[in-house]
Amino acid sequence: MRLLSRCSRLRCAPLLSLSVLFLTLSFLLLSAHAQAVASMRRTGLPAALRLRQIEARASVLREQNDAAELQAALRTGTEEEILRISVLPDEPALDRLLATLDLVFSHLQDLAVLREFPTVTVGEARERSAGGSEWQSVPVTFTVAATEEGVDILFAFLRTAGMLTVSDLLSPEDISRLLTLTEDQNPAAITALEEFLSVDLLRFAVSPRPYQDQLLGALSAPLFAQELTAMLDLPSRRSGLALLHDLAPALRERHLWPVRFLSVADARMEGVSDPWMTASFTLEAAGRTPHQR
Amino acid sequence: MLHTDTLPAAPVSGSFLHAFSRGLLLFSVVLTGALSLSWTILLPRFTQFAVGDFTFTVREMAANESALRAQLQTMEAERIRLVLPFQDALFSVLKQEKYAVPSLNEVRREVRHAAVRAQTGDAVVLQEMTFDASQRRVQVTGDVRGAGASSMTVLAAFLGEVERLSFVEKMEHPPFSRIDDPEIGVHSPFRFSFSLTPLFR
Repeated sequence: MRLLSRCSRLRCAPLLSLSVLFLTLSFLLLSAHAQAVASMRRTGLPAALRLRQIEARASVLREQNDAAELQAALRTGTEEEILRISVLPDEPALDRLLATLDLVFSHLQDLAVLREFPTVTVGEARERSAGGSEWQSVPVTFTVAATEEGVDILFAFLRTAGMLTVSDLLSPEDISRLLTLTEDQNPAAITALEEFLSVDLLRFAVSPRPYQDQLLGALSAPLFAQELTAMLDLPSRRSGLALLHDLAPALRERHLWPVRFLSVADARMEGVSDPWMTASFTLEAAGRTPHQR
Repeated sequence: MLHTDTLPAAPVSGSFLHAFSRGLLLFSVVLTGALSLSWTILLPRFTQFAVGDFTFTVREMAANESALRAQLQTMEAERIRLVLPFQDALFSVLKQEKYAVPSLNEVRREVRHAAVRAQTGDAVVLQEMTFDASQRRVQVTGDVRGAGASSMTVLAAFLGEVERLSFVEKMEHPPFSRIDDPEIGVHSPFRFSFSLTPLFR
């Protein structure tokens, strides 16, 4: 206390106060430095690494998109036309629909997996909407007495009805996965993948090997071949392709390809444990609404 | 004596304090100045990162990362659009609906395998299966026959196996009953339903 009072008398108190102020400021600046360095080590360095990876990926994507755009420019646009006429027609087109079902039932009878030709009932078209789109749906019902194999084939047919190209057979997740694999293994092979996805599904079902080999020529990594084979080998896809393979000559001859878009609204199977079961289906045949013509 | 004892010490102590205060002030001012210079000039230089042709601070990097990620997503969507043979909104919606509907035959096969796994032999008789695509719901009707007094136990084991199937999201258990029929003996008829997981294809 005596020292302080002497200090006050000697006018060194303001000097000491200023010193304390500057020292406090220095301490604050020092801790800010420490925080900045810690933040750089904690978040800056990992973020810089991530940014480099993102930049590299963006560059690959840009190259792939440029290549895909060039390839896309060569398209003729016939698929859209076919889709409008055959897959999602803007008129009932019941003749084609019934002819297709006739063909499938005849095939099942030839295989002795369908007991008798079923009666097909076609209902009134009704408007439906989902995901911002509107369409017409024609209910189609029939009941078959078939073996397990017969019902399997029917489901396989319904799964592929309305599919046009290989891209339609694969799910969006599968296509994304294939694109990621091209990106990792050979970005330039995107054009080969684009060609593969555009292959007509019936042609692919008849002879898949050349198309697969062409794609695998551009992407020879075992992982890609393995994943592609696994995707195409899913039981529902394999049986769908096998059915199209068997029906291809008749579908072409009667001009029934591509098939009308059909989906299962509900199904009922009786005698599930028996060798012959009764399966009733309510299908929906999709088409464009009149104002979409 | 008192005066002569204390007065000579005062000037020595005062000048030391004064000199100390001035020195401390000078040191603190220089330190603050140096740290301020470091904060404004040196530190930004050492905490910047060069990515490609650009230089970012830590803060800028976080903002840039999210912007670049958004750009990547746009480019990925564009790539899918370009790689597909054609774009048709209605066709895409219908395909999505179709992908979401599972194969009822696959469901049936798995339910039958569940009966085998429950080691029930041929005691579980599946009579009817219905499938509502819009509700993604399957209803199974059947009967447990020939298992004698343990028909309800057999049914419970079978239901447990069905519930464990990967595509079963939620299952509604049936009431358990045991009926003694003069023609078919002791049996346990059942009707249960379950919803399918969204991921089941």
